[in-house]
Amino acid sequence: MIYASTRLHEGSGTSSAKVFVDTTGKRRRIVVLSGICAAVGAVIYIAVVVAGLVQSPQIELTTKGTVSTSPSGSTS
Amino acid sequence: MAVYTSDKAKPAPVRRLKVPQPRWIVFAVLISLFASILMVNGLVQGEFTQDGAIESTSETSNVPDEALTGGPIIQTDGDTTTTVSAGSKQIVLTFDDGPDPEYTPEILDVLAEYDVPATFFMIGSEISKYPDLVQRVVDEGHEVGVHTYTHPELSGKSDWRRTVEMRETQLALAGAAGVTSVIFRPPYSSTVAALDDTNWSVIAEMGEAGYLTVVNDLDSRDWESGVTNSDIVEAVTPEDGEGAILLFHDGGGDRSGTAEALAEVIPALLEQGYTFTTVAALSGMETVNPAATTDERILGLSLVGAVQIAKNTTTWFAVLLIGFGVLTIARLALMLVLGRRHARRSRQAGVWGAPYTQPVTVVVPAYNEKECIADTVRSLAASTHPIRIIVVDDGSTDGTAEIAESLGFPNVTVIWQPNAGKPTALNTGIAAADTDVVVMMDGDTVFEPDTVRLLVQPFADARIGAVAGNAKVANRKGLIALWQHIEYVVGFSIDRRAYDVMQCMATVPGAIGAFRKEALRQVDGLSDDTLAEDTDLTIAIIRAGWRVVYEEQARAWTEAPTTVRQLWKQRYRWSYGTMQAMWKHRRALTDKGASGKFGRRGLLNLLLFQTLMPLLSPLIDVFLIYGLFFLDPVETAVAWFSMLAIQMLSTVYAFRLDKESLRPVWLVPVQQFVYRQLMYLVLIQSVLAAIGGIRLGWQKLNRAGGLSALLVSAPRKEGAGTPDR
Repeated sequence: MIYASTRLHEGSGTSSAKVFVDTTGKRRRIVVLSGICAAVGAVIYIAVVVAGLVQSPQIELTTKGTVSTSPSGSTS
Repeated sequence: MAVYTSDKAKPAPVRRLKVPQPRWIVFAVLISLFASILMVNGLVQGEFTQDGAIESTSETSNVPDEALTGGPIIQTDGDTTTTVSAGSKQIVLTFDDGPDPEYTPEILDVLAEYDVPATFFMIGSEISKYPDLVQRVVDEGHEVGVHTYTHPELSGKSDWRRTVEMRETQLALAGAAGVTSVIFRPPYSSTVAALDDTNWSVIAEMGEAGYLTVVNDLDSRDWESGVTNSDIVEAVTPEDGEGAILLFHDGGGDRSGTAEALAEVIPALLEQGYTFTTVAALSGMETVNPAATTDERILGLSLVGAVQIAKNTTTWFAVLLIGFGVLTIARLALMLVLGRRHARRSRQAGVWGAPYTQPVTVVVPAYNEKECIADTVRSLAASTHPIRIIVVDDGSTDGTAEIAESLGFPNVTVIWQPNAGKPTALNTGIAAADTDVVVMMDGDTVFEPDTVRLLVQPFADARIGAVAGNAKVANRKGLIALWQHIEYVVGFSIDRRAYDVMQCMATVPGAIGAFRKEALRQVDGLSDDTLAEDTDLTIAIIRAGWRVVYEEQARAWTEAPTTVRQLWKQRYRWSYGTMQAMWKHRRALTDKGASGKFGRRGLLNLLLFQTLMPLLSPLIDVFLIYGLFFLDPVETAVAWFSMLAIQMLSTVYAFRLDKESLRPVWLVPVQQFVYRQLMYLVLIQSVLAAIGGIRLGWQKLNRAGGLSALLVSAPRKEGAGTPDR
């Protein structure tokens, strides 16, 4: 058996050469923030739809339709 | 790169994968959002049947006489009922089922031309879709009434549904034009003569809530096919100069003749001395559209906004879906044609020139492969091509190197190095190789005796820089392994053949690939910039101007993951690594020559069909469910089954090309329900990791071993990937 010594990342030099890797963590924070924003937006949308269905579930009008005693049409 | 002897202590490997949960919560919320959007769109797009389509009954015992014999404007509180009729020579024009983006503006133009008012009984869902039209109707002095939100036959609906139908329409009105309405026309209503116990219950309920119900005196029948303008004029002209409320439609179907008919009706009635008035004027109200409260406006705007988002999202997604559908079918057709061309080429003898008989070096990188390494080396030792085998143990702690050494084959050299990763191990092997061609394989893979000989034949052609072999799943037991088997066969037997012909093969699989050493030297060996070192290397070789081809007869047998967890780890690394390689070589898109050709074919293919489209897959699944509930379920099912049939046929073709048993093909439909979802979830995780710049480590898979034993029972002559590995 031959024993060989190697250096890590021999091909490209340093670990920072790894594609996509962001050692500062800044991009990860942006993704997390974007995810939170997207989720909040989604929750708001769903909430609006649900609220529209369940909020003020009353059929009563505040201003009611009336028929005047002397309309231009004929009352019966 | 150099090889040194060393007696350093072996470092312990560090390989970990963390799957944070929050991303899946966000994913679930976003999928729920898409489902909500589609549901909202489905509700507001619901088609309804024609007004007047429901016959009235003869049961009128609950209908007050005042209503049965009175006028079409009905006020009732349940106990007392008052009705109003249009006075002599007075006409109220009413339009149901709008607003409609085509017909309502036409009608408004005619009304403006003759300066007459009208009353529009609008559908709430249409109001939400076309709020600007509602604003125009109100701005031009017309009245708006409520005709429910989705046009159901209200008497058959629950109290809650009736309330929602009315309330949502009011909110939509408030959001669209800042007004509400106190007048109501029940869907499918007609004249007072058609009142019965069924529809009276609804009218009474709405009366108690404060609505005036407005039915009609004369139906223009503009909804009937074949009706002429003169028919309509005749239908809406009252007898003996009486007044009337006329019914027209500006939505709910083909109303192309209504505006034109109206342009004849109005002057004809004006000529006969009729005047045009409103419901408010007849009933003595100042307006039937009081201003909405602030709360109503806010809620209304939210509702209209939600519907607008739903409508636009669904429209754009449908267009995207059609576009990708067409692209997918076009790509598949191209792949089949090119795959067939490759298969024909393969059958020609001496296509690469004189047989390549030079010795080659086979490099086997291994990390803790004690279960497989003996089988791997033995399979190589049986090679019918002259080879030298270099096993590079990348710091194993399980005695892999010792096992390989103890086999005692004279043409096997074992090199042990401290753990430094697969690319470095391969570079060690390449540096130690002394032949023009280097074959690389995985430590968990076995070759057939003829594999190396068949694999290296293309190197007779001096333009060839690398050759991909045919990786096949050896352990075909269990659903997960069988699904991968199908994936491998399709991926290699069709896709890779086509990539060969198009000269855009992005990956020579790590399990079986041969490389010209000169090409390796030119690209400086393997890099550990990415986790898909095989894809990275292949692209680099193509960009350096070498041709990369596929040799389907050179088979390598590999052990596929058999658990979801193992498969997930493997595919996570593959898809993350592939994206890394794509990004690293992105400049190929604008390069000239072979590199540019690869960029515009290979990279775009990877981007479109292996990244973007799979990312849309979860939405497509939700859209399918939407289609079943809100679109035509038969058409939706036919579309889905058609796509499945196309996929099945291409799978059958791939299996036949690879001389594989067709038995596993029946699993393709089942694949749509678990495997496909698993694959796109992995991709989503990879994309998030890539965007977030998360560092991903190499994932060591657990191996059961015993590949040779598996191959004894496996049909050798049968016919294997991801497609790109």
